[in-house]
Amino acid sequence: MASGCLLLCWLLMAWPLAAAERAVVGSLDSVGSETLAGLMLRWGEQLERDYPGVRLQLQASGSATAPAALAAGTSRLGPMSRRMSAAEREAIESRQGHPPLEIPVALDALAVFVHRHHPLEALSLAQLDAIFSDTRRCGAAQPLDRWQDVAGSKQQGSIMRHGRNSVSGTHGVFKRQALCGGDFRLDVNEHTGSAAAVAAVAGAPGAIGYAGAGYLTAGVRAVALENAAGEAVAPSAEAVLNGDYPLSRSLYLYVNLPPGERLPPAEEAFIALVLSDAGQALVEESGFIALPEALRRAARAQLGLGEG
Amino acid sequence: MRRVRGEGPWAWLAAGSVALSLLLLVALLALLAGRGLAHFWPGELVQIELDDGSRFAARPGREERSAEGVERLYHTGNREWLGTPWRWVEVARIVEQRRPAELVIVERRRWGDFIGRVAGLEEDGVALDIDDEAARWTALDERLGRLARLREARDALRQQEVMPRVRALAAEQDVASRARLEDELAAANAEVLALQARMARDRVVLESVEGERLALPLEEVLALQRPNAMSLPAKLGAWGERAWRFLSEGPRAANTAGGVWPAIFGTVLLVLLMSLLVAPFGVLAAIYLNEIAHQGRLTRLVRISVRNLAGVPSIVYGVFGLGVFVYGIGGSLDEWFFSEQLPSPTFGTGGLLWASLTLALLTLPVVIVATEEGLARIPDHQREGALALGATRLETLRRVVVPMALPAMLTGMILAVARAAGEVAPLMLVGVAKLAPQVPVDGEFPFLHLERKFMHLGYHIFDVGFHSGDVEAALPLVYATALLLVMVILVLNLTAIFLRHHLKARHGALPR
Amino acid sequence: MTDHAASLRQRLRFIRDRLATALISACGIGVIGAVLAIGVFLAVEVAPLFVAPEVREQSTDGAPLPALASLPTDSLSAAGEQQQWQADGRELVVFQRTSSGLELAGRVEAVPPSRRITALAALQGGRALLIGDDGGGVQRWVTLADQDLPVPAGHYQALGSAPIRQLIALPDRQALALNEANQLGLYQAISGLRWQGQAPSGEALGWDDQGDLWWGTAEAASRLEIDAEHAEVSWRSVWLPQHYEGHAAPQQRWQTSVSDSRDEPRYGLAPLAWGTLKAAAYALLVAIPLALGAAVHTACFMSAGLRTRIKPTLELMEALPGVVLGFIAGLVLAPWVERHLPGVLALLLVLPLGMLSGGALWACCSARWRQRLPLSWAGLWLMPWLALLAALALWLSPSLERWWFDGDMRSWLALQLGLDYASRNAMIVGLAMGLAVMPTIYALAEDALSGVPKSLAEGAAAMGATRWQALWKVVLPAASPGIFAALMIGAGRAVGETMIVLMATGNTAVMTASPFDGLRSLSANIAIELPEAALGGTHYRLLFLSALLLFVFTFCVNTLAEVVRGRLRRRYQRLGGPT
Repeated sequence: MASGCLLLCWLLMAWPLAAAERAVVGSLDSVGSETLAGLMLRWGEQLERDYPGVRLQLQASGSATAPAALAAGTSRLGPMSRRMSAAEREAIESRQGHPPLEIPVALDALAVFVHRHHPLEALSLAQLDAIFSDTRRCGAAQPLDRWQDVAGSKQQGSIMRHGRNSVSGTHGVFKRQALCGGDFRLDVNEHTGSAAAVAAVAGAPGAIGYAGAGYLTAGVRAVALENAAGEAVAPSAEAVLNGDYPLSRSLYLYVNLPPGERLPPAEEAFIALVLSDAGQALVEESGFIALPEALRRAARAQLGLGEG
Repeated sequence: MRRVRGEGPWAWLAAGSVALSLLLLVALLALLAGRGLAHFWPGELVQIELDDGSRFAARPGREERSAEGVERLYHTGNREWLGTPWRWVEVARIVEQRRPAELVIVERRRWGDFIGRVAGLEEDGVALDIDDEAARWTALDERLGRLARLREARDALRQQEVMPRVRALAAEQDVASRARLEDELAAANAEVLALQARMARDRVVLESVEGERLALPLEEVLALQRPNAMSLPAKLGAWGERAWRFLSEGPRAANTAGGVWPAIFGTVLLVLLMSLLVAPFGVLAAIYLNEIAHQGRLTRLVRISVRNLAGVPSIVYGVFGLGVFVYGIGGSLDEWFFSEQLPSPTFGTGGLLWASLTLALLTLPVVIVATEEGLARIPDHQREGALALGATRLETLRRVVVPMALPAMLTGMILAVARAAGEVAPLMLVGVAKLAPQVPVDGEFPFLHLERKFMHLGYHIFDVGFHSGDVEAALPLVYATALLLVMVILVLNLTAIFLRHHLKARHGALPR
Repeated sequence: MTDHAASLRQRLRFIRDRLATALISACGIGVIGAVLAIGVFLAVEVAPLFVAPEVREQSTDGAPLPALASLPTDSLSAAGEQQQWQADGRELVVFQRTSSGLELAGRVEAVPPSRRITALAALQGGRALLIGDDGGGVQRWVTLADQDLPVPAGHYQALGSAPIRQLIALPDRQALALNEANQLGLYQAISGLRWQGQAPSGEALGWDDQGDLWWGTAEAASRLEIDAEHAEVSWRSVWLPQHYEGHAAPQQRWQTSVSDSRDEPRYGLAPLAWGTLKAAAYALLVAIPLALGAAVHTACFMSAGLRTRIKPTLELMEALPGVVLGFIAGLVLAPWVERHLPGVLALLLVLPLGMLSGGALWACCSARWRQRLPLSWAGLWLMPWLALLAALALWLSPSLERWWFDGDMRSWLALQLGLDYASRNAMIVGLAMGLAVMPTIYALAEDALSGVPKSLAEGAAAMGATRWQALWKVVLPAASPGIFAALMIGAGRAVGETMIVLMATGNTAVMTASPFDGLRSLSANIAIELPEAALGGTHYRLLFLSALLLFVFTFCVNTLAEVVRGRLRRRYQRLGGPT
């Protein structure tokens, strides 16, 4: 009984004060991707050092939550690890009267890892599909079960496959881009985190796995992939930037900004930081690939921000 | 000599089972304790020369044997130049291995550890002319001390001057007072920035063994050690300090470094809330079942069901919590009271309140069963005596039955707390977060934010071990966290065992 | 006056008592009700999955016909993702879509000799084709990436016997079939015919902008309400192998597509149930011998003083959190076992032999040593002996691997036994979860054994039986129901354990019995997927169904155990033992 009353009291107490107004100097709300959560936190940390009165409130439950929050106007910043779909964009436009601004903030490559002693140098996308998929929609004739069947491989023994679980964006991007939309084999180990997948590859000489390129550790080696032109490309920042590496994606920050208006000061400071050299240094520290200067300049122009 | 009649092979297998179980338990605890505590030890640094003439400095780690020979893992730090802070080296390739006393390991705010030498100090961009090694260290220590004081002042300013004004500004409507607040805020901000500018005065020039140079602002330095030059007491001191920082600080660098304070806080708060919820309800239900309800077939059935619920998998409770508390009750609360915030949910998403309710439900059977056991141990003549003296049922309960069953209730509560502290699976569905930048308690009204997500020691183990960027770096942290969690739970359980023992001794003496 | 006050006080006391009793009762009943409501709630959430789909005509009360997107007019051709299909008598003509246009890929006989194709429709996604014939038969064909021609993926229950006139593809891989007798049938790609009834008068007109189908004539049209939210789920589709798109044969699969709605979700619960039982079985394989052995030794052989120390210690193991065991199993044990596989397998042999040889050595020792190291303390003094043997076995394991398995045991396993070694496998789970379940079984079994009245064993000993004979012939049979209950409760715990399975396996939904293959359990699957599943969707409800299955299973097993234990307790009371 007593605790029932207490519970009620807490409920009453716990009502957050209604956000009386949105134009608070120094309070930033962001709702969106989990992939970008660490990076957003690092940017927020940096921003708080530069502007002591600013606080970043971060909710990171997945990319799909960003469009909903932008449409409702509960946040002005929506980080997403994939591009917003047309339907999501329309939903925002119908509620807000204008589409959100799309600002690329970082690039990411998906890398295929093998054990550090594994002699394999390069794989074609068809071979990759034949290793990971049992529908082989990218055109391989035979499934690959053993390393001796992989052309150009000196390794022997059966192939052990590691990857992410189906709820992750990495899984989705790999399925779309490397398996041509086909099915994963049932014996691809589905790890709950990229680091766990890479650690599993590092523990077994016959293993292969995929994860973001930033998860490279000393125990594994990234395999070069053949692109459409037939050349083997390692997942380096340059290869991703000039489009040679076949498995890559952009990470975005969506901003709710009516055309012709300026952003509130806190948001503006945040985006200026993100697009600055200091902000992009944090991108590299987090294991992603920094944006080229041209893209950053275009984004700044889009927002009406000055240089630097 | 007469041959002893043997007990046969089975007896030995049975004895061996006990030995093996104990062995496993000891091995497990030793592994956790060894690895968890070793994490804070300032291990020595080595400088290594390979057969190709290249050199590097690192902290040696584990070894692995493979077809290629024995390899050793080295923690080299310096991630910005080397790409990864780890390196596998074939032991056969090592030509020379030295332990220069001047090697330092610097824990930095960014890019992880640096391993190398201190080449000099800079003040306002001007190199200080100190040649003597010892004098340089004294200067460095002095400057680090100054920085710590400045940092403290800065944080205090932020907490006491800036943040209250930001909050006031958020609530203030009046234009005039807004302008005044904004002015004050600008002044406070300027003060903080001035402090930060003073903090940026000193830089330490670092040089890696490979020859890379780096002028690192001293404020980026979190800790700086010369383990090879440290004496044993100094090492012990450093060990204690790091262990304390692990317990008292928040995680850094996307959970791969720093401490676990928010997770400890979240775990304790969660368990406290859960106890507040489960204690009265569990005890009342047990009293009802044992003292008030008619002891018939139905009650027996209910009793069996409640016992069985203790065996229902915790994930099922998590599913129930998600469906009923989060989506059901939380969703309705949002619709009624927080509709202006929708679709961004307030209570309609996992949070502290729902997590503690779910755990309360999960541990309810434990408390009911333990309390009932205690109630059943009380001899009937105690109750009958009280009733015969004219006490009402309530008075009998309050004066006779409940006091006698108190240790049992306490035991039940402690067991419930121990179980709840170790449960992770249901929390993953109802509100644990990998990183909650704000703890659920702060200076903002209503002080306790039940709708917020929280961090948890158990989930921290899972998250850091499996989701962080660098498993090698995270493993020692995970060991330390796991050790902490196991210690907490073991202590709770030992208390429960002690109480139960006490209870048995007390009631064993009662005349039946 | 005082009398009056006293009686008033008396009545107040009485009322207070009544009130408090009522409150306690209300609270108690409420709490117990709430706890018991778990099962009911889960069932309620799951129930909509099995509601039969329905197609209804929604009267529009003469509202004007909205602008409609028209249906394909030619029912004898259909366009897929990469293929175009054309019906020609009983043959299906297949065209491949290439960069230069359509290219004939081949012809295939699709219906029995006496029939001919009367309708075609490509299902959502364009990787499957529905074929209707003039006998009312409806079947599905799926395309394969490496073959030009589609392959048949099963006949559905026929819609009457009249020729199929039209097939209309709907979202969620459903389709409406209309035959010449004006019967309407709702088909789902996996679960087949889900509803049939009389079609409204008129014909299908087209889609409105809400995605609803309109039916009738231009003058009198109505909206068709298709109530088939979870039509892809039936008992058969969840438990039996299904022929999914892109595959040549029916399979058991659990592959949900959370990220992309274009993909066909595969909702086969069988691999998950299999994984759950497999993990539990391997865990029990480890836990039962250990727990029963330890229980027998503690209850019957151990000295009383030692017992009061050892029993709580072993029971304390139960408190080790699953997340810690899972972390050690997944990140420490699994890589370690992978490197020391021969050594670990040798341990399975060495440890029991070590226990026996310990016994044999003991029997050969002098009486003084036997007194110093009595059997009642063997649980302790065997520890260093076993540790020594284990260390020896591990130290020898690289040499073993070189002598017997050509230097690499895993490739030897693959070549000789056809077993692939997955690093996160059932053996690892068995070891870790066995350790988690062992204390539960041990505690209950030990209680059962030590609860057997002493008089029984003493009687046997008086007749000249050894302690082991007394145990085997007298005590064990008496305690067997209790031991059974202990095993049941242990099994319940093993089935529901989440974090260990989640962290120690690769969560691969395969159905093999090999200890070196991975698995995916119901509970781990819930923990992974439920946070991302859309509220109220099929995926969400199927995860609730998994939770319900776990609930029902553990509840039944525990009830059984509880009933057996209750009987046992009464039997002991009759035998005059302690309660």
